[in-house]
Amino acid sequence: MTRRRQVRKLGNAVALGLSLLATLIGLACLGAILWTLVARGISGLSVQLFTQMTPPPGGTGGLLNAIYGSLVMSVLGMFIGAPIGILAGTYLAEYGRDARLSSVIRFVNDVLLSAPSIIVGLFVYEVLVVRMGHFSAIAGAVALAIIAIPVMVRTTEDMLRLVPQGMKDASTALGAYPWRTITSIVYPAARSGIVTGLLLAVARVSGETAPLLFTALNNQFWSKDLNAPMANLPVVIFQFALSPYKDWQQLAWSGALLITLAILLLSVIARLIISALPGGRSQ
Amino acid sequence: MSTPGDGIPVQDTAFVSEQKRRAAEGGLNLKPSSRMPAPGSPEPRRAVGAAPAARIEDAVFSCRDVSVLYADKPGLSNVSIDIARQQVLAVIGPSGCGKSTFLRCLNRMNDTIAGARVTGSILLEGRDILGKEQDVAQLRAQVGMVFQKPNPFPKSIFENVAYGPRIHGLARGSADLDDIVCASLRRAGLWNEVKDRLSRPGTSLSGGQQQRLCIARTIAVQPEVILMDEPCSALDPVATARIEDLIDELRASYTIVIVTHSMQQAARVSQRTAYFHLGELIEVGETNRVFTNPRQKLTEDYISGRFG
Amino acid sequence: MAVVTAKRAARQRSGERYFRAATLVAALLVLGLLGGVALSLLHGAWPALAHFKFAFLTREIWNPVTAQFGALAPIYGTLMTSLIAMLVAVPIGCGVAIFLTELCPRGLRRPVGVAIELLAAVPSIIFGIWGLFVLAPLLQRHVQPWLIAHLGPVPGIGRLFQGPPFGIGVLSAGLVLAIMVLPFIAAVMRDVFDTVPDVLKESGYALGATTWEVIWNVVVPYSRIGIVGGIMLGLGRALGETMAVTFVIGNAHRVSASLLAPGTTISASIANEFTEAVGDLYTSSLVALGVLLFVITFAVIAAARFMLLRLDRRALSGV
Repeated sequence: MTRRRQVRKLGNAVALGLSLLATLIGLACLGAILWTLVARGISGLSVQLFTQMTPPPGGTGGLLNAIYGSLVMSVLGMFIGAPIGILAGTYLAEYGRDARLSSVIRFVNDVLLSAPSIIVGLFVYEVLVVRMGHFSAIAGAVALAIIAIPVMVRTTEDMLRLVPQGMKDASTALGAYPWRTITSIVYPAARSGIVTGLLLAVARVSGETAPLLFTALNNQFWSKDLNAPMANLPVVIFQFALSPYKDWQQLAWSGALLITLAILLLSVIARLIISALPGGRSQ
Repeated sequence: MSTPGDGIPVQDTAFVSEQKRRAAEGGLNLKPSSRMPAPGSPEPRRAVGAAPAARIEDAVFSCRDVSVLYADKPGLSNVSIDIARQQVLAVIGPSGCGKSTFLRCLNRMNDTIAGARVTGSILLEGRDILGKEQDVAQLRAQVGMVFQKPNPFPKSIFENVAYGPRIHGLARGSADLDDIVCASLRRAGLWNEVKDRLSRPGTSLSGGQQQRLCIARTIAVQPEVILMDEPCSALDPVATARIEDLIDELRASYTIVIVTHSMQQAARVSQRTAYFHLGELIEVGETNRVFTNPRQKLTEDYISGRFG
Repeated sequence: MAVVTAKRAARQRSGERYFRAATLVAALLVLGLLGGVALSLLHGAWPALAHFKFAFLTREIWNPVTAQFGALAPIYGTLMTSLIAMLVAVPIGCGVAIFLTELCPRGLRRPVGVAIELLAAVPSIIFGIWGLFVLAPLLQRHVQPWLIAHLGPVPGIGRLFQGPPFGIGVLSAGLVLAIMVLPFIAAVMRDVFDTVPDVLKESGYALGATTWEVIWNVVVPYSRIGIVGGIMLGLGRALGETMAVTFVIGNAHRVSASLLAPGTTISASIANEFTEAVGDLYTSSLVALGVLLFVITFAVIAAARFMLLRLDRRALSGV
């Protein structure tokens, strides 16, 4: 009996030791990545980075046009994607709660949420770039919008469902039609939740590279034209990192650090907002 | 749809025979004749003994054979009752007796519950409100509702009250809106407590104040009838007393239907009382009479505290 | 008396109609998006599929000059890198999840959990350049020579470790993928394990079971479907991942037995060649690769989501 117990205890210790080891390995790898990122990226951080254009090979420069392009396309993408995502999430949460159509849409949305982003790029290429005849910032923004929509649908539905039914009933009982209740009561009540969804979607979108490769492409120069190719951080990082030039590689690391910091910041803010939400929000 | 005098709708027969069985076991004397009135007779079936009281001249609401099915389970069966103008009707009964379901028929809040089906007829000032032509928003503006838990909107105190007038376009200009809000808060007895902090959120008030805010919000739409679904069950005794006083004042201008689980409250605030049991209206009459001299055994058992 | 004018009511009613219609249209758009993606990809891929027919799937050749294209090498590379990634990431991810749900001191649970979730949000291109500049040289100098020397001569698996140590190649891509999906798998697994009711675990402990026995006999059987779903979701990510792989795969349209040789994946081929592709057949062949990727990932993700349906939806928001 005691022998058996010892074997069991040993097995327990080994298994748990392995799980601890796995955690350490995992965290070490991820820590190593972040460490490299900071170590290599920080040396390139300078004012220049934010004031100068991407340089030709061998020259010096910054990432201004890429940063600007990323901002423009992310914002534009959110402008297109967020309303669609919020409305669709509203449908799922308020109108079609239990309908069969809703469960199909929910399922499709979940699939889109994890669909490879390069496929979205191909799709936008086929329907926009081919039609327009050239790469453009618009096409890039649309691709990013398609990435953002499923995220917005998901968080919007979840957040609207947190609004207490009693509040909706009170508005209904005052003679408000559902649209009035939703726009005047439910949205304000779920505001911070929806903002969280927006932040998460921006975080997701701003690091995407694959969908921009053949929609917005890249542009070495300063361009404000939405109808023309536009520089953006991820694609610049991609091209510069794969180049043989040391200066370009350095810029790639700095850009990578910038993007990661921005995304982590957005995620942390989103998390803080979520944790500040009173659970369920009913008094 | 069954109209008065159609006889017993098919879907109700099982329920009726079940009721007969229960009635026999419970010693309730239920004459078959009372369940099937002569065709064309508007006489309510259930509240036999209370027939004269169940029918009222110049009633605000008159309900005939109102039944509610929740996903094919009966929530209310064949309720016929009149609701008198500018009086308080208390609806009492053990939990699950259908009293809230009945209340939610009067402003068609049951519409919001998937699978709920309401049959029969409910006339509000002689107009059938269950018909397709009835605009529910208009109905709900005419028949306000106060809920169990105070549920102020996530807006300022002012905006909470202004919400109804805004959606119905009742105010001509912002001065008019100010007047409506002020008058509503006054009528709800809340003005003096909140006049200096109208822009604070509604949720910053105490529970009792929140409930009065909800009453003010309902009054602001200038309804004819106010439905109250256990409005004091989440409040302490002091706040409850204030609401009860308020109900007494409001009676002068509004018809009030209040669902309550407290018989003392029913006795204190109402002029007429209806007793529901298992989805049926057992008895309705003058509050004094119902409490001192109930005509039905079930009512008597409930009032004397044998169950509920 | 309520004076709600009929005109006003009519306006409210039409407002309701329009708003409801708008939400429905948006919801249908989500549905249409998936269909649109499928149709437009098929349309773009049609020339290549019609030209090469079934042979597109089975041929290794990829020659833009002679306009001969076959998808075998990218398919092989996609499956192989994902397999390596799963072999590495699933055990480690499970370990992390077990640590987080059963072992971790209360005070550490949230910080470590949040760290893992945040890492899941790091864009994949970061993993890609790290793989190119840090991991690949490391493997080339220290790991691959050892593998070639010690495992190379072994009959059977030795074939996987042949050739010069390039640094970049299928193995490196698989490892980068593994590190990329690790936080994701760990986070999903933790959510899955969290769905096991405490009562069940406590009754296990009450019988005198050790922590490991409770995990193995209670937690794992209870959450079996969720675990498989979580792994599939991670697999879906690995299969479709572009940037983490493109940097380190080597982009060679070859099926090599050796894991150390350069190869390519579907997404890496598209990312590397699409903008430079000349000729309709070339472009169309790349889109056809996209169709293949779409079909493979759709099947995997749909299966995963189906298995995870039982999981509380909120637990997964954000991933």
